[in-house]
Amino acid sequence: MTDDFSWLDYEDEDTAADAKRPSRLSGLRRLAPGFLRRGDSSAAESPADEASPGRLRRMFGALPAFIGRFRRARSEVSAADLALQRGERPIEDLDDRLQALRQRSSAHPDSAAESTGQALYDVDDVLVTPEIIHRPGGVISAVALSKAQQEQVALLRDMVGGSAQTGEAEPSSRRIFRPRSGFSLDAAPQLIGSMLLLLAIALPFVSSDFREGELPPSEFHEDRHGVSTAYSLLDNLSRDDFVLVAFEYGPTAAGELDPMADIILRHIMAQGSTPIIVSSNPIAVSHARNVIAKIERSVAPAAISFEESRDYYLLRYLSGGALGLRDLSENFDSIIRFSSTGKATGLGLTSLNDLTLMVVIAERADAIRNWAEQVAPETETKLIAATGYAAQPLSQPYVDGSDEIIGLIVGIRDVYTYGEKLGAIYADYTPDPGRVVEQPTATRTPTATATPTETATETPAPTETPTPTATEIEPEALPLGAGPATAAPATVEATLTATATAPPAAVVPSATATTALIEVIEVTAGGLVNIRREPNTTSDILGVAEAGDVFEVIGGTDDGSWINFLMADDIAAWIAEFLVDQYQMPLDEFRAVESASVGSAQSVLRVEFPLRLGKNRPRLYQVDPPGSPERPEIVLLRDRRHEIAQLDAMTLGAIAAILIIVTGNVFYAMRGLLQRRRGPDGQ
Amino acid sequence: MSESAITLISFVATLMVFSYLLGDLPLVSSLYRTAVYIFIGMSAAFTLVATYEGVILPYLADIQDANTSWTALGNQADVTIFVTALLFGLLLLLKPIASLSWLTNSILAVLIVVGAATAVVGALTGTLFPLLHAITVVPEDITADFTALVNTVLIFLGTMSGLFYFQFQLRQGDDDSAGRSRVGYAVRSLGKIFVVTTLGAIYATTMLSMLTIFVERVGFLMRFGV
Repeated sequence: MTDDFSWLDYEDEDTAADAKRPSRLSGLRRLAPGFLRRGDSSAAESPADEASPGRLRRMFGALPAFIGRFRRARSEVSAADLALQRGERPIEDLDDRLQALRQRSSAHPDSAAESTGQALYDVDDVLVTPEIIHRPGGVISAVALSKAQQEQVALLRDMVGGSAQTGEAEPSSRRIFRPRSGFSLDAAPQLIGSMLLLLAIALPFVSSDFREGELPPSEFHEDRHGVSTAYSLLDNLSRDDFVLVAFEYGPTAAGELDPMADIILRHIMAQGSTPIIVSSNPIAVSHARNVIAKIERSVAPAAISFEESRDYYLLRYLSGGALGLRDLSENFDSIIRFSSTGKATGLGLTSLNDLTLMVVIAERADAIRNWAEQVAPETETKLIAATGYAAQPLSQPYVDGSDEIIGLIVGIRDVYTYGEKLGAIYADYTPDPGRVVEQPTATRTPTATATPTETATETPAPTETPTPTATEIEPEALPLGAGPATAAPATVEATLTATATAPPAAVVPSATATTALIEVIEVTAGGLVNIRREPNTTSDILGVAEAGDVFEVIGGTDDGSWINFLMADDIAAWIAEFLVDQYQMPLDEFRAVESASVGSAQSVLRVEFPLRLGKNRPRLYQVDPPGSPERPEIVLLRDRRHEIAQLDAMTLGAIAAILIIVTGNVFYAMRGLLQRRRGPDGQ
Repeated sequence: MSESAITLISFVATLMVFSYLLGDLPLVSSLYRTAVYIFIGMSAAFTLVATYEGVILPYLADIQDANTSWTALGNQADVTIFVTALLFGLLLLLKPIASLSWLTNSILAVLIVVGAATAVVGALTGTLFPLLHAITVVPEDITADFTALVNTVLIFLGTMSGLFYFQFQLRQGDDDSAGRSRVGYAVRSLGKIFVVTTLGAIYATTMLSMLTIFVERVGFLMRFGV
């Protein structure tokens, strides 16, 4: 690349040489003749300069005298001027590619490079400009160009050497471009390619037989911790939570990001939480209203309706781009006082820390960057990032480089997986149009507790089987005091499911009692203690345990200060030695204890790293989501009929696009070869 | 407006935009341009309304709420901010008047400087420091987290060589010639690989985004009336 800028190295020649070879003037000087003077400083004080104050006035308006002095001094120490004083690099010092370019330009002495009208000398040797064929029509056809616009076009054409290539006389007067009167064969390749692409995309919507590739998985890939974390954070929301949702995209990206916004908003609202929508794009504010209206239309059969300033908030748009976001982070209490229509919202939040979460759905990486730079550093509230495919490469570093930004949820494939996960959790709920569910969890819990009892009594073999522990487990007994209120029913479900399938396994050990001893630890410290991924206090917290929890030991550090043990699901973890008592226990007894304390063991919260959802509400995030929606219909009534067809169309469209690009390149390459073989005269 | 009417308008507007595929024929290009003009015009109009309702009205409401006591500190601050913003806005209108355009330039200078300062502070705390942290933190147990180590090394190499790639400073040799070292050339070549790979990835993902939007619109057209 640096060689591409070798025009910087050209010598700044004296005036006589310039008169002889005006095209050898420096490109920099031609670019900014007002700033770049000759190499000697005296030139800056030349009468010609003093005699042309109009140039300055045009550039800066009426400026004070000291600005002029500054400008004069600037030309004396300009780095560009220093560069101009360098000697021309010998051609043999150039690399092969530049030498070839130089030879090629030498072979065409009449090229535009020798034209005094060139604004960027030698640039067209490096940037090989395509031939510009002037043809009336195009997107801007029938647009009358003003004189200023024509001058700009001429300048641009000069800069890229277009006018010399086309050999076309510049229009001397105002000209009106008119569209072509008929179809041209020149447009045939583009039209054929477009139609093929259109056909490939349309076929999956016609028939499900046109399927290619696999659907996205129903779980986020295990390596994508960020997306799973983002999902779980949203799934841990509860009724009292407020979530700031930033719509940083407009209608042009709606096709890609609307499904993402739709499912995230549904998830938030189904949990009973309240989204507060904000944007630095005024059009996006209006668009967000449309997305909410679409959700509301879909849940209307379930008699669910939304009301602004009750179920959701739509804040006024943040003017000023980055400045607006900085305003949001520093004057949050002022920003949230008014809705997008200038009405009072009545929200009493005072800072971003009062929010439970923030979600940014962005069309461009710049938006993610602005939020990462202006908002995320000013708050302890986590920020979830969601984008389309185009913004992913430049957004990913912000997610990877910060513990405060979670994600990245990307594109419709992640939306599909997100929907699958939600669908699996909400599968027990049947949308019942016309039914307003006040407390769905209340009707669910008794059903769940009844199941294992029946299963246990029907189990014939081990009559000495202890009473199923499931009936002993009450939600109140679960050590979730620090967790969200909604977590309890889900944990009960998980526990009961395990216990319901457990009776045979729980009974068999007692029948085949073993005297083998295993090393165990019992938590003795009061309150909740941290369980970590590594044996140090800076490691990720995998979960918490409370006094009485018993775990199987599998190792420890050399100094004995940390103990390695197995959590539920056989996950290896570490705990500080001073928090526990270590002793041996018969295996069957351990299993019985484990069974008795299954509620505690399985309710242990597992996290990838410690999270605080809101400054005043420290909380731990559960890998296993609680899944206790307030209004499940909001999720269940989401229209997913066309998701698969859309994904298939994406796959076929991508294949078609690649084929078209490859075919087109081969076609034009062959045509170019044939034309070269025929020679310039076509023979 | 009913949902069916909105759907119908969306359908027609989508067809008008898609007419661009047929080329620059007089009728179809007019349809395309008309759709684009409508979109741009409505966007501009809505921006105006949103600015009035979301930015100007709240200030007016603040002043109106406290107009009974001008001496109240909060009210003075609100009025001061509003009047200052209004004054700045009016000064921007002087741009076409050559003799007074320096006033506009002064206001623009304030805006640019404040914006640049905000951007610099944000870039430091939100981009550069996290990026530095990401490229300088070496995993405690390298063998256990080899992938993370490789990533860290790649990020470091990519960042440094990429920055070096955009360096145009010349070194003056003994014979007054300008040249660069071979090491520098190698680092810049590596940076070029990273830059080209990045641009390629961005191009590919941009195409994927466009394809997603195209698919959604085609799906909408296919489902219309079904």
